[in-house]
Amino acid sequence: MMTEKQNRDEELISQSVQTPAMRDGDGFWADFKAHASLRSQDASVRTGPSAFSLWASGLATAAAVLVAGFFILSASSVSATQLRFIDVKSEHSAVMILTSDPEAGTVVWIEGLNADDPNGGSS
Amino acid sequence: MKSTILTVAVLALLAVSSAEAGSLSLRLVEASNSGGSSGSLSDVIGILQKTLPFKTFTLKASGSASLPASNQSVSLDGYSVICNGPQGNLSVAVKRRGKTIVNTSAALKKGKPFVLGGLPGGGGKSLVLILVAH
Repeated sequence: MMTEKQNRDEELISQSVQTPAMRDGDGFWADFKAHASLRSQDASVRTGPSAFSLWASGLATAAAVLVAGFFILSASSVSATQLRFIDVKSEHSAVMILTSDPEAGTVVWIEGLNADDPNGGSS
Repeated sequence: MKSTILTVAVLALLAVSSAEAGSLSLRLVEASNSGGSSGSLSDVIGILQKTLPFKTFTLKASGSASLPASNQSVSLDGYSVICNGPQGNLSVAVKRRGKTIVNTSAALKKGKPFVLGGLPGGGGKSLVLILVAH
């Protein structure tokens, strides 16, 4: 006994359109060439940019520069404190550099620092 | 028209110079895993507890310097910290008993801490130097 859903599926299948037969490659390219030949293929004729397009591109460039400048300035104002250079004069075993994203701070940890190193340090 | 342009230029220069000038706070903090942290470290306690393997931080000494600094020396509990240069390229020398043990430089952003840790303190404890530009 067929269910209501099966009945509906059968009905839809019977109403479906037959898919077209697969075309061979030669036929496709013949059609393609026929359509292509309808258009002018002469690329030597060029038109210069209109005054409007020059103005538009100039304005777009200026806007892009302004927007980029704004983003660079805003990014630099919120960027983190950054270590530029470190030179540990006394005996030590390691230097670790960490940054913390939310606080935008930099942490430098000197491991095993001997501040009383008789051979280290500079006056 | 000329006076307007001049006024705008002067205002812009003042704005730039005021953005560069400021002050620097220096704090020397003892790091440990016992006791409670100092309330005066509330602005930096987050970064300290998150990045360093210590739970509590106690303020031992504090000082300040003006920015840009001109070889300003700040004494902090047995250490001398000599600051030189503008906020964007501040040189810092940490001295103990007259000897420089660390030379460093950093580009500081206002309110964003620069932390130099691992300095030896009393009783085998570690000290942390915190610099914040304001």
